[in-house]
Amino acid sequence: MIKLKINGLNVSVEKGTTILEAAQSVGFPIPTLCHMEGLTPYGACRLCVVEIGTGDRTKLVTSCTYPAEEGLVVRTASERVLKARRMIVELLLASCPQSKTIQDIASKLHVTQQRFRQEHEDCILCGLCVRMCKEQMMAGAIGFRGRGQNRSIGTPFDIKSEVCRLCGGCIYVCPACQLRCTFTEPDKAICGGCLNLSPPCVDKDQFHDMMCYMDPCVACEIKED
Amino acid sequence: MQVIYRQKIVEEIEELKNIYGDDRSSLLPILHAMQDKYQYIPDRILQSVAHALEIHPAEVEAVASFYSFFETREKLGKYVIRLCQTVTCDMKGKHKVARQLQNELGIKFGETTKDGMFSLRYTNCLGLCDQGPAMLVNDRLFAHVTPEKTQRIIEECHRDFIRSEFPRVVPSILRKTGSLLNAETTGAEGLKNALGKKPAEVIEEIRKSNLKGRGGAGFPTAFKWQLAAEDSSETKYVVCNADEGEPGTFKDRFLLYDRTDLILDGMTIGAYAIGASQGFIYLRIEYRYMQKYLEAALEKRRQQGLLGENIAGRKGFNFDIQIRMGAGAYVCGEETALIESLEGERGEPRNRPPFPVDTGFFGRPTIVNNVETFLGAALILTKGAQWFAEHGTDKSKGTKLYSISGDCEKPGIYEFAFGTSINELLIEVGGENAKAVQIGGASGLCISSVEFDRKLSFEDLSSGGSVIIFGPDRDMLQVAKNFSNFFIEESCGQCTPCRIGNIKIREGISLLEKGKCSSSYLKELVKLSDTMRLTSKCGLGQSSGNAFTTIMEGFREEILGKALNSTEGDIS
Repeated sequence: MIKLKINGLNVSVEKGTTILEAAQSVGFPIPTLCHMEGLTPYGACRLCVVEIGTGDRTKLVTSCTYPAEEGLVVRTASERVLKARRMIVELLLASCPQSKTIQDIASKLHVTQQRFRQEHEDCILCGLCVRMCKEQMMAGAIGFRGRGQNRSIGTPFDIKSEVCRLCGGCIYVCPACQLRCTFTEPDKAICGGCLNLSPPCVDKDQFHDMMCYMDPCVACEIKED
Repeated sequence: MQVIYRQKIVEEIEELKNIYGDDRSSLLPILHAMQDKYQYIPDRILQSVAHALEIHPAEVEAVASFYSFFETREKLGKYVIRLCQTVTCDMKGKHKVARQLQNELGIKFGETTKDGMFSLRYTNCLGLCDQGPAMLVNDRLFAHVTPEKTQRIIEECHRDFIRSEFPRVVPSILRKTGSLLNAETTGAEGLKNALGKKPAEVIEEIRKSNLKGRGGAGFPTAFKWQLAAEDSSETKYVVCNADEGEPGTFKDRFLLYDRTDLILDGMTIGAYAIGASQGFIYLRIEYRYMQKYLEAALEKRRQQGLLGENIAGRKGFNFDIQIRMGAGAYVCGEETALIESLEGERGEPRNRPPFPVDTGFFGRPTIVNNVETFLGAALILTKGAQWFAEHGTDKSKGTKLYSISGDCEKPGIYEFAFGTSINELLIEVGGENAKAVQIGGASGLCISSVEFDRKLSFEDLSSGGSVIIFGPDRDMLQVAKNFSNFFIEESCGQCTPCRIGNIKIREGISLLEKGKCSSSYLKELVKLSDTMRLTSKCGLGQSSGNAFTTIMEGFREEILGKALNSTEGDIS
């Protein structure tokens, strides 16, 4: 067993446990976006950062990828961590403001206004769908293309992939293609109004309010039948 | 029109598999070979490659679209002209050259002429910053390009002159040598000394010299080697990081060409110390003209018994080195991204831990060191730790090579002892009237003249050796913009702060250019850059805001409230 200290609390976990799992096992909440149980940790959204170390030698690491180490001192909600998380969620909001998942995370972090120029991307490149397709559906029908600002996700050569079984797993895990928020005044403000609203599109009747780019969408087809 | 027959491609790929192996790591070499042959890699080739290597087309496309030197959309011209757009070449008149190239060819950057002769591309840092503007035509490098010269080069291309077995290498300008470069050695002396010791003693010798990583991060080399040596795995790897992509760095180009044997000695010593039997030189594609030269050097060593089995007569010590080419990605200079790229993946940094010293190339212990670090190691084993540690400061032992470019009288390669101040450096290079100096390239810090007494060392200004000098008339906002564009292009796009953050910073710079940025928004941007430093996944992301922050701090007065007069955006 590995002993570490999370927010002053002594925690012992099995070898190979990540900080995120350790913190969650004792009830410290850490926001995550690109993380999902059953999929390889990716460490891309950087929302789950925590502060490790003591004194002057502390640093921020992603709790979803960092393994628990003997004697590690972790703070999951220090001032520095919260500031960083707020900035990151603002960046995510600036590119994908309609995502309920991101808005909820923002609300929980008390972000009420984002400071940057707003765009309306339909993907935040969290890579959940890519990993879901490859690791759980054993298909590998979609992948990343390009790099930097040209990075995108799609099927090879932009044609329907022969290994895609239209299982819909990619939509199921997507944090961006859910209920589209109708926005509030003033511009760029985050109302937090949908914080307690339940999401996924399969449960909803109003399909024309959906933002979905899987063509055809399996969830919608099932519903129409 | 060239017709691509599937059966022919399949056969060709099978042949390539025989050369490079049929595991995943052969993907990049195969893609390179196919691109050379067909001048681009269309979908059907990607598909065949995927089929041959038994991986999914999505993964092959993912790799091919990641690297800037692979072209998947349209066929490239017979001559691909790549003009360096890095800040130093920009300062030396890249814009004029670019305009003239477009005039001569009648196409824009990113396009190919209708006759299929020329493609025009921008590229980042060709490692010729002291002799800019630099241009690459296929594998041939051109220095000091002027608008007038472009016309002659194009004319000569029409006459098919670029047909030489060993592409000529533009010589580096060496200005100041010190103990590293003056050291006289005879035939693999350091390696033979090392083989006379136990591996642990070799590492101990390196430890005594206090050699730290010369790529800029300054990780103690002995510690890295020891961690790899202690691992019980039977297969280990040594990697020489020759992906010198940092804008303003060109010393590795010189070392690889001029101190080849010492670097290969260093790698072999490293292999002996950790118990590796396979090494790689990860050479950036921009330095492809060196590939044949290096391969010849490796072959010569094999014949001399310095590579291969029972090296230098030492029974049981087998080690060989392969050259692997990059494909145009700055981020591959980061060690975990480099390893991903070696494995034939997209060059995206990994999460750490685990570190490469225990989980590196194909999960095996791997040491990745800079070219100059291997040079240092070879010389330490030749001359002794004492000799090495004579120069420098308490915490930074030895001397370091600096690539100096920009507004100074004598740009080139200099060897300085650690602890040299910027003032001293500027006097030496003839750049006393500088208003700012960029230490460490695009990812480094911009130091304004009030701080010129700061010292080049690991404890103060640590860098991979790039020093770019800005004269009194330079527009610092344009410098910041150039760096920002560089990072947007070279970011792998994996993590949020680096991918979106850099775009937001460039948007802020555009506002500043128009004179429309409030100081409170500027403050937010500096905070953003701070968050990027704290939370990004790899060194690229973490350092991508450095230049912006330091330029905004040092030149606030110059930048705030100013409106751009010309719309060209020239730094010059």
